[in-house]
Amino acid sequence: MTHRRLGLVALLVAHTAVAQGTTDPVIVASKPFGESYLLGEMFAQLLEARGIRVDRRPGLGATELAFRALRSGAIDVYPEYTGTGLLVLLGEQPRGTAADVYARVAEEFPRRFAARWLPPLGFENTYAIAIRRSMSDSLGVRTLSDLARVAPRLRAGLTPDFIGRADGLPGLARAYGIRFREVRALLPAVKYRALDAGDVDLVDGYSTDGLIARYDLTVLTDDKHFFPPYEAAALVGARLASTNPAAIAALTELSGRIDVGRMRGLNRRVEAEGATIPSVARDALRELGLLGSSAPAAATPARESLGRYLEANRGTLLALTLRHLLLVGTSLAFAILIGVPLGLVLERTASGAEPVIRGVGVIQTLPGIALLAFMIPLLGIGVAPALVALVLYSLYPIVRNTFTGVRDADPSAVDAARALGMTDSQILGQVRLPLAAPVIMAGIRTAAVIDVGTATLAAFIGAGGLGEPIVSGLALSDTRMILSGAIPAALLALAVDATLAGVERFVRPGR
Amino acid sequence: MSLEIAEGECISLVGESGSGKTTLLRSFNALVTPDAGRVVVGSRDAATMDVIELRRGIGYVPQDGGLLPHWRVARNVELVLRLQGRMHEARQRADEALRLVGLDPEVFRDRWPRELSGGQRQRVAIARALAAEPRLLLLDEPFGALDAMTRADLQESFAKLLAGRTAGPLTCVLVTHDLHEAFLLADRIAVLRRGRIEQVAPPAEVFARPATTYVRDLLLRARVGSNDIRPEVMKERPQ
Repeated sequence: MTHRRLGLVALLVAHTAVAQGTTDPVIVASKPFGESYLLGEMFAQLLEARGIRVDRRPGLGATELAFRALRSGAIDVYPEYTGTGLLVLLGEQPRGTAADVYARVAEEFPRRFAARWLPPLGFENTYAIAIRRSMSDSLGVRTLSDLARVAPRLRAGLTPDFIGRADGLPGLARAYGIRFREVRALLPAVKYRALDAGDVDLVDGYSTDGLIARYDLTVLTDDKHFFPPYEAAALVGARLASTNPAAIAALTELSGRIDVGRMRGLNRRVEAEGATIPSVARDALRELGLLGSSAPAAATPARESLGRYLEANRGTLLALTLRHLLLVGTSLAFAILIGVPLGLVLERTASGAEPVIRGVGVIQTLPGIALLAFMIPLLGIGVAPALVALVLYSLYPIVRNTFTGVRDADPSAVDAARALGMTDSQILGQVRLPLAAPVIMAGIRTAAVIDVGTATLAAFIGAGGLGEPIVSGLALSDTRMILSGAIPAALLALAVDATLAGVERFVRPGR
Repeated sequence: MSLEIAEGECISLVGESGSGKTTLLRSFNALVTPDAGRVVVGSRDAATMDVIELRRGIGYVPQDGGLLPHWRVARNVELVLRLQGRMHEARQRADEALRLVGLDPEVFRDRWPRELSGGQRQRVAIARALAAEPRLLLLDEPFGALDAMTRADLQESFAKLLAGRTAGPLTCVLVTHDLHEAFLLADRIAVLRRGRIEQVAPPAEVFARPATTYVRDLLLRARVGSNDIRPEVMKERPQ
């Protein structure tokens, strides 16, 4: 987990670098699943070993988010797969061999997106459909064509990404005529557990997946070659490609060096054995002779208990908690500065208030990831879009409670204040606002608790916080890691709520 | 309707709910503005006066006191004095006003409104209305929400307060649906029905010669008897 601490250090270094006018760091990102984290970390460590500053943004949302971030210049490089580039990003049909697909994306991306594919790393990681071994044996299912025969009796647990992508379920269903009895959208973390518990019969995975080995699964053969070749390679943004040949040269050192056996072994160490990503990345680079072996390779630690894990990572978790608190505090402050005056203005307008407040409420129903995705073209990735999203999410309870609290403030007290000659602004400032204060505070409290929870989404766009271990843990199917983010987040929510409850008591009139 | 109120008199507006008595009261301090017609306070048309200045010069006691719950008793009573910028005398005047309504400032000054009984709250409301020594006092069912014993207590104190006043003439308009209260406190009674005045007269005259059948029915239903008539009202009647 030290890569997170390194990430924070890198952030500080980045600031210093900007201040001193030296070269910007290379921003290395990854998508939120084990292999992508690992490759991203290998990119980062390799660049650092070549004396290049690095800023890490691991686990960005998914393909769309990461690629948007790359095009907008918010990140410089992340590991991507040629098949995904062809089908998802170019929107073309699969064709030919792995070499054909690489040639196509390598030719088309610079023209269409000003992005560049470095030569492939040396292995393919295609989608795979995995079924419980006992079931594949009893049904005699070995290929996807076999699967089409028995699919109407089976329940599939598939990742949302796979269900939606053209090269996922829709294309697969067309190519093989597969129709499942039931399809459930499941995150990687719960996918294998649901399979183990017998809630679903088959799952999607990656051919290099470390978890397929952990559970007793049969990977079905793609006998019609529906899945295109997915060669892993570094996808590089325009800025880095044109201005930093040293970084390109460093990243190219990995090209052709990682075969499928090696990648599967590395993934197994992370996903099945619980080794940390930085240590596995470091060992891998050493084994490839790309890193001076000043220290002996660390032994893979056994899976520790949650307590030991929290203890071992307490520095990182503290930093993440502080970052989380900073995100919540800043966004809450802005939400108050916007929400309270907005509520007051709306209370003055006779008819327009309800539609506006309902409109603010609708923002809350938008899925967080969608809101974040909309913001990338405007604000890039990192803290700024996360703050804007969090402000929008916490606005509703503040506006609603300010409006209601001021409108319904003790009517007879307000009437008496007016009758005795207070001006409207005196009534607002000295009577209605103080009387509404507990209601407004209750709204702020609600907003703060929502905020603490929602801020975990910030990890998807590289803004850090306690969402980082949650997102990584979900991607790596690592319960300890998930809990190491979720438990502090829950405690933080309780602490924030209790603190604001104290403030609420303090502002209660006639206390 | 036309109603003239003399300086220093206490007039009571009585009638059923919806008769317009509260609306009429609230037009005196411009809480409602008349659709047609004029309200003259002193010698000036209320519509031409600065409403804020107008209101600061008029005491006001609503049914439930209307104390500001987030202010202590003293701050409530000092309200108008502070609005008028009379900071230096606010504390002393507030204490005097509290004493006037029978509350010991030492005991009550620092209490919160919610720590008071209903009767104490109304006393504080009256003290607040009188602290800046207005020449006009408007009371809207000031004792309406109190239990019978407390109400009788406060009515008696208020009657004494009116009688014992030395600080110059105080005109007072009292809205009540309680005829006994009107008879006890008012120099004249205006009976309102559906926005019209049925009769304006001193209590004894209303009792002796109800102008309309409505007024007579009202007296009968309220069981107003001859012992409701205060003899001194007849003597001290301003007109």
